[in-house]
Amino acid sequence: MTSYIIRRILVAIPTLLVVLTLVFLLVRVAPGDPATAVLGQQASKQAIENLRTKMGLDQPLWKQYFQYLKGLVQGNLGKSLISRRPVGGQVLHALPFTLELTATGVLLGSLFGIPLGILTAVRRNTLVDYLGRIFSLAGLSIPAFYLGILLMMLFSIQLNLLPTVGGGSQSDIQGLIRHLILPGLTLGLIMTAYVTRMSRSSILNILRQDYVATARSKGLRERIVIYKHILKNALVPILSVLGVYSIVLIGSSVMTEIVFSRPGLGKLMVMSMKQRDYLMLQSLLTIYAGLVVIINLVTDLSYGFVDPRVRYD
Amino acid sequence: MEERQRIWRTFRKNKIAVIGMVMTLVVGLVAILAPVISPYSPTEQNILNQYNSPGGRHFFGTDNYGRDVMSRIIWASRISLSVGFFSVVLGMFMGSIAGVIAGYAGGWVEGLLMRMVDIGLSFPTLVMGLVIMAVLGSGLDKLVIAIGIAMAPRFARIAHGPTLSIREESYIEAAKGIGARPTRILFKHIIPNISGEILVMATLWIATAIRIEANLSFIGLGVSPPTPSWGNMVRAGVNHLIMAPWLSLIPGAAILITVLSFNMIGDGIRDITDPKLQG
Repeated sequence: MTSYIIRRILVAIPTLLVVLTLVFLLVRVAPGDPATAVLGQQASKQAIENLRTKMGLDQPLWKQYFQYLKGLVQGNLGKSLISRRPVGGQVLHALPFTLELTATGVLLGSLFGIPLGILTAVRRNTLVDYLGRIFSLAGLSIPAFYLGILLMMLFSIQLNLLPTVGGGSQSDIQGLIRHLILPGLTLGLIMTAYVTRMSRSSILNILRQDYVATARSKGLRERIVIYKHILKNALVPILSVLGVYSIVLIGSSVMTEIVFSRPGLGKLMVMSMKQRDYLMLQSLLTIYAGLVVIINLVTDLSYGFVDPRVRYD
Repeated sequence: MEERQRIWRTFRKNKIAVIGMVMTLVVGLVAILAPVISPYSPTEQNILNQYNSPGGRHFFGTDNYGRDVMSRIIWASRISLSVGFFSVVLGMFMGSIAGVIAGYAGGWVEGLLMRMVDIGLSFPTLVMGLVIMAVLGSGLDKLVIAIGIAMAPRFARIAHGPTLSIREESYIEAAKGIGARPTRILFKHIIPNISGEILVMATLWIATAIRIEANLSFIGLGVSPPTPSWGNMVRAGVNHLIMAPWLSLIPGAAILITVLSFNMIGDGIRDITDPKLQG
């Protein structure tokens, strides 16, 4: 399995390199100049030129590109064009906030979504099923920022239970958790909707299989049929869906971070877009692409745990 | 005709889908009739009339510039629906043409195109829309382009697979045999054969396109004020959540209802394409 993991990572490297190159070119054809963004429209031409030299933007494109690649190999992401602080440090500071948020979302989503999916599939076409389906359709329709605002209004403004904005500090566990509850719940509810829907349809598929009819006809209790025969077989498709939607969730986490002013990658990304901070933006996008590669890898590996027929070689 | 009746019957059986269809029609009518039903101008300011609570002469209240929220919501429906529709159409054309060409041509063309598709798929649609929007700058036409490009790889994926199998069919060989040019084969033989699947996909993606537009406008990269869009209205209202919560809550509800009604239709369409999952 180790060789499988290594091979998958090696295969991902060219993809990441292409992503990096595309993003590098893309952010540079974007209208707007970072030096002008820092100094404002009224700044003198000379001042802007000086700042551009300092930022390294006067160099030819290929030189900037190779310099960036060279730094990357040495584990140096360069300095932010705007704040002049190292990009690597800022990203490392933001990364835990995003990972904690996304992980909470995936966790809550599977915790609520899988049982709800089973329930709605087994009680198909009853009131429970209709309510569950409407809930999951609403969950995949609501924009993350709106759900975030609704939760914030209820728990922070009306009930005054939880902090509205910020992320807390990574060293203060209690504050960290208090700041994680609302954003985590926002993503968790959205994920629950996706997982419920997909578990329901994969369980409905299995309910029709012959071995389920056999299990029932030999008089097994419904509980055992559901847990031993249906759920075990439904887990592979559910896991693959969990992987796909974890990627969708990264998109929603950007919006959640903005609503709750959580200092994660998403907030950093939108800020760097507005400031035309090329170096920051290209590093962040490469990290997003890397996260997707990792999620896909973890998803594929998890099949082996639930289905012993899956082999990695 | 038989087939069409079967489809309609399956769709009608799904109550959620039928309700969704009615809701979509209502939203569509609101957008078309905006100039007729909108009680006030969506952009006219009135400093003497700020922060009116919902009710009375202003059904949904007024905002911090004294503008009528209901009129703004009615006019903004045009933006959401048109961006949703046109961006999906654009993404559908770009993506399915790329997918069909890749599948039909094979070789390095296929390798190159599908590699790009894979890269496109390795970003969430929203993140991709964000980046393209940052490159293009804000504006309605740019929103359509950005969301269209972000969706194109999804359509390319759907178009690519079936093309591979259709390519091997004998009628394609026959067409080649009588000297049909590749463009003719693509447009007359392959595309009509996969258009059903692609159109179904397109319907399902309209909801997502509308949601992405709302997200981008909320961040401030989409439709810029004073033109009202549901996303930028929620954003503007966030600063007044305590004093005037309706400024964010009502446009947000408009987004939810619209996206939900498209998704409800999608629920019925899934029943048709996958009859096993019905009900």
